[in-house]
Amino acid sequence: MPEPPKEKLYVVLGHVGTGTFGKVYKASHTATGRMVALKQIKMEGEKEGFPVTAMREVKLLQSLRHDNVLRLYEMMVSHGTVYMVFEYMDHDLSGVLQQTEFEFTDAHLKSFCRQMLAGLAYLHHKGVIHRDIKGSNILVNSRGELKLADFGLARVYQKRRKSDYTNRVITQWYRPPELLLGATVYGPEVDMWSAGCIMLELFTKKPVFQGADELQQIYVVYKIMGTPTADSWPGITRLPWYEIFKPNEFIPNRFRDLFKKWLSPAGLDLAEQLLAWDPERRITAAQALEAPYFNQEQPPAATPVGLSALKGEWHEMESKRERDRKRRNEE
Amino acid sequence: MAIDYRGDPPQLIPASYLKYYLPYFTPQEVERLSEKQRGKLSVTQEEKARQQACGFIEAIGADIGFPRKTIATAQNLYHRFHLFFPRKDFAYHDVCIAALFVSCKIHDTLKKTRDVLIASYAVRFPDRAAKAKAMGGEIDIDPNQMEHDRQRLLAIERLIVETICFNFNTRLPFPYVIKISRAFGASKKVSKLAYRLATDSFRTLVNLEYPPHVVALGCLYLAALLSSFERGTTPEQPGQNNAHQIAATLSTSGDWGRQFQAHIEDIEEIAHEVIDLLISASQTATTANTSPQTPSSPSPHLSRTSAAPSVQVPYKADQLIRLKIVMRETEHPPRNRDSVAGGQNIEFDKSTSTFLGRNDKTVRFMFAPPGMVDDA
Repeated sequence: MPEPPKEKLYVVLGHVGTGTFGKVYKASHTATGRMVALKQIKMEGEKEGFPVTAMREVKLLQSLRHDNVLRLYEMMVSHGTVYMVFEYMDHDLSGVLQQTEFEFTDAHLKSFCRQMLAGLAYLHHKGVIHRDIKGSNILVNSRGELKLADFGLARVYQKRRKSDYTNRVITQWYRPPELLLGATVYGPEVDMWSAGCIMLELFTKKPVFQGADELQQIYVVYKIMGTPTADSWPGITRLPWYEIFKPNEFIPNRFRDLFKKWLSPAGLDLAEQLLAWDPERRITAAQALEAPYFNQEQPPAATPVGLSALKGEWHEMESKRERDRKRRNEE
Repeated sequence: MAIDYRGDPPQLIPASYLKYYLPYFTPQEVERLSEKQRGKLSVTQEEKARQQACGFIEAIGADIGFPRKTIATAQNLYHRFHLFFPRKDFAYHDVCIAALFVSCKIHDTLKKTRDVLIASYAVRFPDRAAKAKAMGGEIDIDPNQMEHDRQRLLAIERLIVETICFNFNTRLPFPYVIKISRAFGASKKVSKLAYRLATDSFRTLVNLEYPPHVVALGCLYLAALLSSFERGTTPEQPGQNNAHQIAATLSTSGDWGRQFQAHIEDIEEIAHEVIDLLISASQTATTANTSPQTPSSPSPHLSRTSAAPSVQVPYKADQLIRLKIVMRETEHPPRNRDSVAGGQNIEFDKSTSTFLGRNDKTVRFMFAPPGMVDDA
């Protein structure tokens, strides 16, 4: 590649995805060679000016600084387009779990799980609920570091009292049962359910609760986790849509049976505590970091540093493309 | 100044300008920047424009029912805007409406551009608004006019957002007033007055010059002075300090400076700025009652149609002036403050307004002053 002229700030290397407000580009800072992601904020046709969702995200990210939270360096306006300038991450979790070139050990997966929980513990300590934890919003770089990203749905909550929020948050497959049953009063526990889903996905490589649509989603959870009882979730009957979705029949819990071939005993314990029906009894991120899975059971967590040898970059987009290509070849 | 947000980036993003967010300016910096943007206006005219603008923001905010934080932030955005953009280039109401609009997004007290514009027309044209209300409808504005105003609002929104370097974090003195008043054992009456003075402080530039806890201390100091000046001591409830004691504590250096990380010179300066505001408000209030002023010449920048509410002053001008004299007698000389710009030219010599809001340039916006941006 020819040496870029020094008076150029960034060389745009490619289009790596599409965010809420526009495209995301990979670019190299010519002076330092540092990679950044430029996230476009499209303002065309915005009758209400600078999008309030973008403003919320920028405002939140400015107040956050943690190894496991994606860093927003600065903003840039170039030729009338506004960009958020982020640190560059090579992969997203969905993408990197789909690829087959680099195989993750249990110690690597434990590290991913720990890093995710450390990021969440920090957010919740700062009074922020992410509200959209899923594979494509968790990024991984070639050093094996994991960072939480996309704060477009996140919001600050009052630690002492739970407030009324919109129920329409968190991507369906990662949405906790209380939201599926219509709760509008909730707290950081909603992220912990999503974290439980991600923890299982690390091992199984695919989302575990794949409901066909929103109505089916809770039944998919019933099938695996069994039906909740007055004992496992005393508050369930008070939820707005309980009558609509209440189980017709008793379904036993098959969680341990289904996942014991993937996870260690302490891993199963932690995942089960993350996927507790009752939000009040669901383990917090800070508590989860103290779990025997991390502190007692072998092997200890190990950062997947070998990822740097992985060729290419794996975002959900690429892995879909790859799957499609394979499928076409097989046909 | 039309907005031209285009699509894909070019393959190479060209060399750029840098703008750093400066949370506070020294009083000297504020004066230097203001002087430049004041243009041909006198300091008095500039102050009048400032009060009119703050009153306008206050009136629209009250009409919509915005909380204090939204109104105060809007007033401060207005002040900051005119450190970098010339007063002659903008009608004050356009800047005020845009400042309120940005502020309501920052604080998540959302209103549509249309709602803010309608409320602004109601304040600017009270007669038409009253007529419309009597008919049971809202003020009738030509849709083309409204669309035109919306475009202007959004153009200024962009300038404001760039002026603050997309730094949407705001810290206001109000929560500090409550906490610090409690720490000093102030009575409810004194702490309430301190809170009101903090509200008024946004009609001055002190919130561009000092962090919120220092402004809160300055307001508590002035509240204590106002409550004790030329008054006998009243017995206070147990556990409370009376206003005399608080005023005496804050008028001399002591442990409180270390405890609250504030300098006595700064809180005196804030108290002076705010009492000056009260004095001028009390004087205009009395002159308006006794001798009607000659109407000033019509100007495109200072609309006289708005019934801008001014600061409510429960004290007489002469009493305030006597207090001001006493404050002058005991004050400390101003301290030397370092600029947070860390040697960078804050005036952006070619003048910021030349590279903000442009569609043919690339500008990087940093969230903190030069020494505090770490490029990890």
